[in-house]
Amino acid sequence: MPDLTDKKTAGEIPAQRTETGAAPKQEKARSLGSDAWHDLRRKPIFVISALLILLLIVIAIAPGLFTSVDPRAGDLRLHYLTKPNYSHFFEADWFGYDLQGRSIYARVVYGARASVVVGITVTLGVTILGGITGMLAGYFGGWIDTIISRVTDIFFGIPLLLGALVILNAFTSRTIWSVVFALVALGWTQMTRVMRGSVITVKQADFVTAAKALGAGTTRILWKHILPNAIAPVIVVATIALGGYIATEATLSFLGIGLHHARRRGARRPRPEAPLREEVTTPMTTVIENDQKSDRLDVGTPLLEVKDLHVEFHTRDGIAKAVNGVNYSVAAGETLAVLGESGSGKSVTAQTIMGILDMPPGKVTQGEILYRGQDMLKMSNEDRRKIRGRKIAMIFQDALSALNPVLSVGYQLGEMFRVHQGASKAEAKAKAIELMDRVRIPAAKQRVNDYPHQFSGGMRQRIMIAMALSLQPDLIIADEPTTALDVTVQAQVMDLLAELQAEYNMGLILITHDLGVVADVADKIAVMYAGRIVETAPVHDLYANPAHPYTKGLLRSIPRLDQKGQDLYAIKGLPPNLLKVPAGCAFNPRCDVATDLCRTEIPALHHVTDKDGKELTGRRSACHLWKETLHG
Amino acid sequence: MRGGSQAKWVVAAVAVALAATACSSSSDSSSGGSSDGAVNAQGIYSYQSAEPQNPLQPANAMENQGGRIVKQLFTGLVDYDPATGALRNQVADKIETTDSKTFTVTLKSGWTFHDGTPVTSSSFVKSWNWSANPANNQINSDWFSDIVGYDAVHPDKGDPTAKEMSGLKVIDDTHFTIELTSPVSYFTYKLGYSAFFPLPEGFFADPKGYGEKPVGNGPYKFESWEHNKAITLKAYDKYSGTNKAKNGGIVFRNYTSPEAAYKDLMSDTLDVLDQVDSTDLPKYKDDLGKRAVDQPQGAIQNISFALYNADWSGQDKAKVRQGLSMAIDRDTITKTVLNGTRQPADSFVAPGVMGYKAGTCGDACKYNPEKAKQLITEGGGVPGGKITILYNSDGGHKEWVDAVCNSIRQATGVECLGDPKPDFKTSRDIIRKKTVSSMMRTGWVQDYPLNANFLRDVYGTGASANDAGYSSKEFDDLSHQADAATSLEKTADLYQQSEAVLAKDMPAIPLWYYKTSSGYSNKVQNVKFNSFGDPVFTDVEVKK
Amino acid sequence: MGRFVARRLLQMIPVFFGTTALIFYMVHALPGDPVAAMWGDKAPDPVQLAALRHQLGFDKPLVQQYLDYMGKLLTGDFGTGLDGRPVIDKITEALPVTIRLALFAFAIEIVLGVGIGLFAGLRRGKLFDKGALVFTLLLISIPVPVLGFIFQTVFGNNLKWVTPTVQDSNDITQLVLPAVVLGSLSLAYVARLTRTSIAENIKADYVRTAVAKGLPRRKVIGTHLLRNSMIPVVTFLGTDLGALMGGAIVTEGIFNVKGVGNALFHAINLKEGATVSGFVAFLVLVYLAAGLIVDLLYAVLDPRIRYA
Repeated sequence: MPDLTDKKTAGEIPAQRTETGAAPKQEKARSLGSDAWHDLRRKPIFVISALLILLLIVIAIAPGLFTSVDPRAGDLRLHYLTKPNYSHFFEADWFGYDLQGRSIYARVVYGARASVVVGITVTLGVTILGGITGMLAGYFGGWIDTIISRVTDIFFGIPLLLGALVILNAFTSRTIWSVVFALVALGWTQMTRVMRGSVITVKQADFVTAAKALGAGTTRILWKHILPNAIAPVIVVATIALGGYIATEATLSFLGIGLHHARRRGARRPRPEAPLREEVTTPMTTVIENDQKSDRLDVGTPLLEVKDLHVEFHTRDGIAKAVNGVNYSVAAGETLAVLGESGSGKSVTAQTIMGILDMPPGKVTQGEILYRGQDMLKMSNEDRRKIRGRKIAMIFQDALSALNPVLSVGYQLGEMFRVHQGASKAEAKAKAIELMDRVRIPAAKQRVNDYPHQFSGGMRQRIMIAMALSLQPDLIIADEPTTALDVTVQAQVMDLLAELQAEYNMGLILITHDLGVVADVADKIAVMYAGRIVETAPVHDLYANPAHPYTKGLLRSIPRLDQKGQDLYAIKGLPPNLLKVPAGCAFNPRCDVATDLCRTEIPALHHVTDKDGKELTGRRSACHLWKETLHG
Repeated sequence: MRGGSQAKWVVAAVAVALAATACSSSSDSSSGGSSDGAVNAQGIYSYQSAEPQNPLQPANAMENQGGRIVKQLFTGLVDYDPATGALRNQVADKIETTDSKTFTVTLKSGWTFHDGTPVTSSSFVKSWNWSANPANNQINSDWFSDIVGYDAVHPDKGDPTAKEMSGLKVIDDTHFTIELTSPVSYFTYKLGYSAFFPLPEGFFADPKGYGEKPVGNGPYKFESWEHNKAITLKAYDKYSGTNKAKNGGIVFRNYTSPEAAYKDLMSDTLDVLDQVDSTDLPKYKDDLGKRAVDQPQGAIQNISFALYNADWSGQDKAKVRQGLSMAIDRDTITKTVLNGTRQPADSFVAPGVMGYKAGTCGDACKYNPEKAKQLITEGGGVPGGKITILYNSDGGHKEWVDAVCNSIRQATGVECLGDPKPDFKTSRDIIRKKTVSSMMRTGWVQDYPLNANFLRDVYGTGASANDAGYSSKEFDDLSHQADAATSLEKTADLYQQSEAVLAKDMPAIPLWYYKTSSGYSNKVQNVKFNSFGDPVFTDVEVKK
Repeated sequence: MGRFVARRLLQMIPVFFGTTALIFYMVHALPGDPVAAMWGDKAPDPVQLAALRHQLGFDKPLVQQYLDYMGKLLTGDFGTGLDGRPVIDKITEALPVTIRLALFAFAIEIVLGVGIGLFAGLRRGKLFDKGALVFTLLLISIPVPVLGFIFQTVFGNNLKWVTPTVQDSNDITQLVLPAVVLGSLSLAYVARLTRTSIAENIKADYVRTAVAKGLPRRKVIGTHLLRNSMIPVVTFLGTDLGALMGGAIVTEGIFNVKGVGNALFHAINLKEGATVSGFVAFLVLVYLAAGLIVDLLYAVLDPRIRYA
């Protein structure tokens, strides 16, 4: 898990979520701490549920607060003499009297108490007992695991009724605690299984290995490293099981061997429902309203044109404007690099072009995306689908998560031909092998049926590229295609991409935060910051002479051989908190040269001229001080 | 789910379809014996049942489910007229005795088993000898213990020394004699019990096979037994008895729960119900209207004291026991908690039984909180200052036990708690081992409708159902005198005297008498129940 | 894989013996004497009681009884119940009924549960999703007996579409109501599991890739989303199928179904050691097999899992 989340640039989302399962989400929820709590408190359903649970707990602790009536005492005549009086809140006759003449309300209160006590204590007992055994089995494995696992198997075979009868019989009198004991004795193995599975996963994690390497003792590893990380699924199961235990106790009563407390069909198990876990998304971007006129990056015939694109995200905390009037274009055979930090809107723009933006919460509020002159935003879903993959393809950052883990790569590659060209299974497979050869995967024929996890990172990325290339699209959007790879592999993959692009004369939009990658492959660059383009330029011009302080900072932070021995430069500060984007130029707080103007007025995307006042082709800068930056 | 069979297990031994002698006439009208539809004499109807727990052999029919089926398949020497309750001869032409010790039986001729073989003297004698032999594993093998030579066939220790009881002598095909070890004036009553049914010759070669596919001489012949599903009986054309079937047959349909059966009755899927389940009791009369059945049964519910505990013995404690009895508001409890399905008891013998006398329990069975408190105080209070009532929680007893305890607590301030045991078997084990600490639920369903059955078998010293461990010389002496009496009437009278001893000693508190709460579908009519709680199967008419 | 299966099968042996021994002991430990209970409220005739106990082997030490039982079991003889009927007869009577009922309920669970969960997960937060949440919450909250009685009253007594109870346990069309009731609780769990799983996976990168590939929605969901989302559901379904096979005491009781639950319930109540052990021995095999199948199914669904 950790290595995956690291690669993600945390705030960039919302379309990019952590890739699997509940665990990372919970980590997220935990790390948010008081923020999450704050969010929860604002959800009425959470408040209501919490109050109900609290009420049940109070009833369990002090039923006397709710009724002074003894639930066992009854006058037989009361059932016939008195009718329920539904306006007599909290009084003995609120719900009337049962056949025994006992107050039904009092019996509900005391019955709820029994349910809560049984539910909570059984859950605790089962979790502790099962947790310990599961931890031992999972961590030590071997014969300890075999014995514990087989014992859980045996317990699974015991009919509940038989077990409960035998255990309850061992008690001279049937109290709530004997029922608790029976349910724990019969139920702990369930938790053992859950804990065991969880521990097995966790113990392989790097931090456990690290702890071992550092010489931590077994107890310490189990207690400090394994337990906190393995407990999550156990807690999830326990919350669900809590209700189950109450129901089981009721079943025993139904079968006539349970507790003989007041009938309490009314007491319901609390539902641990979703609001606690999900939708804890943080607002991404808040950008100052702005309309930006700018020309296009014209080189050749535009294949794709993005015009004045605005994208918003509707979150509970308000509207986050992730993209604010972005314009760019790319022609056949041309490479446009889109550069920017996390949250700059570069990926959102790309996803909008592909039509894979989650909507909602995403929403395109303005603008056009023209593919060969046709506005894709106005097309039918079916027409758009036919462009996707066939005409415009995308390469994703993390091939491991972007490839379906449960389908063979051959299938996933072949799928393109089957869906778009109606190829047969065999044809699709043959073409998949061909493609794999094309991206230089060794022994393609043998490996076509392998699964993504069986390939190395570089090979996986090649498969992603192969998939994007399969139908020889007009345009490829590569979203940080090499970020997840190590440096040598990065170069190989980029070279391959460039080579294939040239061969098929494809347009390429290369999205990256890494200036080093761009230099060799891109024709032109668009630098984005806080949802807008701050500078555009042909690649060499930009490297030679940036016209925006942000670009300048980026360039200075590239390590260079001639600066050996010096501290590496870093732009001070952090990318803007999108909830509180600074007024004026969004970059101003991090800018060395910012003036009062920068703090109040959003700069337009100015045409850039050379010292002689001659317009520089394809160059723009959204800086009030572009002149000073460029020429200064 | 077991409730159906278990609740009625109360005593289990149930004899041939018979009605109580003094069965109130009003019950007939309430059981809706009206005949308003055209009748299909070949019509087959269904009855709520459960899987018999033993093979269908006469002396093995201890529990209800198998018992009532065996009673339809076989007819004994005598049975009881469901209308008048009088003992009447069936296979027997006459049974003569001068000393209540030796009985000469004369059979009618013309009776046949369903396989066509004739019913003869040896059909009975061989059957009884076989059943008495412990090697044959018949639950009711000790029902023959009155007969001379029983101890050789069924010795207390060691292997049997004989296979035949010397007290049984076949004279010819239609005559045989029975000799008893001591006089039992009401022995003919016992002969109605299913253990005394005859068996065909073929049975002895293959008892197990015949247990699966019984061949009898009763009004119905065996058709099929689909285990856990149904047992089907067909009317026997050549039946020679007086109670020939007025329908074509019966399907004893297996139900896992009484609630399920009730649902089926409501939709006319099931024709005759065994017993309304406790959930539906409060409303079944509204649901069924004229088709609801509410009739007395020859059964009583008691709370017995663990007299074998020193705490409870002694003359003073009799006062405490009477006091506790007076602290129970029987009228209200039967009306409310029990939905009127029981009738408050005022004696130790159920009404409708020969020898029943109203009010023998006297004031001790009347609700009187002041007197109750006073008697308990006079008697030195309850042992340990607290009483518990042991009961089995699978028989629907919880509600009324709670109510009884409430009543005692309110009236006298004595702390009273129910002591539930998970099932019948468990509670019986504790009761049988005589390890009950305070009080226990006990009940008695008649084997035969005579007060002796409610008294000697329950309260006699060492009697098989004497759960209280009660032992009174006075009671035992009177019982012996009664057994030796020359006529049934005298026997019954003498037993009434012994019952008076019980009222004084109060070894058990009589609570109430059972009633049959049942019903039947729109497809059948003339459904009457006898005092055993069974319908008179042969009289049921299926509408066209 | 072969070794894995072989090892698992081998490990079933001690589990089998352990379970049967435990069950045998537990039945023995149940209070009450089953033979004496045949006499009801009366004291049993000691001679006859001893004879019966001897015939049933109850007079031997418990260990001896168990060894005798296992010896016979290994030759395929499941012993006889207190009523003298062979236990194998009881098993072959009850098991087909339970298998039918279980598969029926299981089918309902899968079709409706996965269906509802899928649509709710895809339309998260929409009306259908909210409706599904309320619906499943209802199913989870209503105790089985109550649901059963409601169904009986409505469909059996009022609408008269079906008979309130099952008349013939071998007739699968009559098992509709009990199957629905039996499957309802698990249906709710399956629906919720599927919903959560779908809702999580729909945001997964590979789903986005599938969309970017231009796959039609049907294919994105069917091939890419559903299969990945089924992994946790399969775990639940696997254990649930095992549990369903164990019979449903309450549901079978309400609807008068003569299945394993009912047979087991009676056997436990009557303290029929041989019958209980026979059924449980059989069920243990079913559970273990179900567990093994789930594990193997994992490997099929998720190639990342490999068994050595």
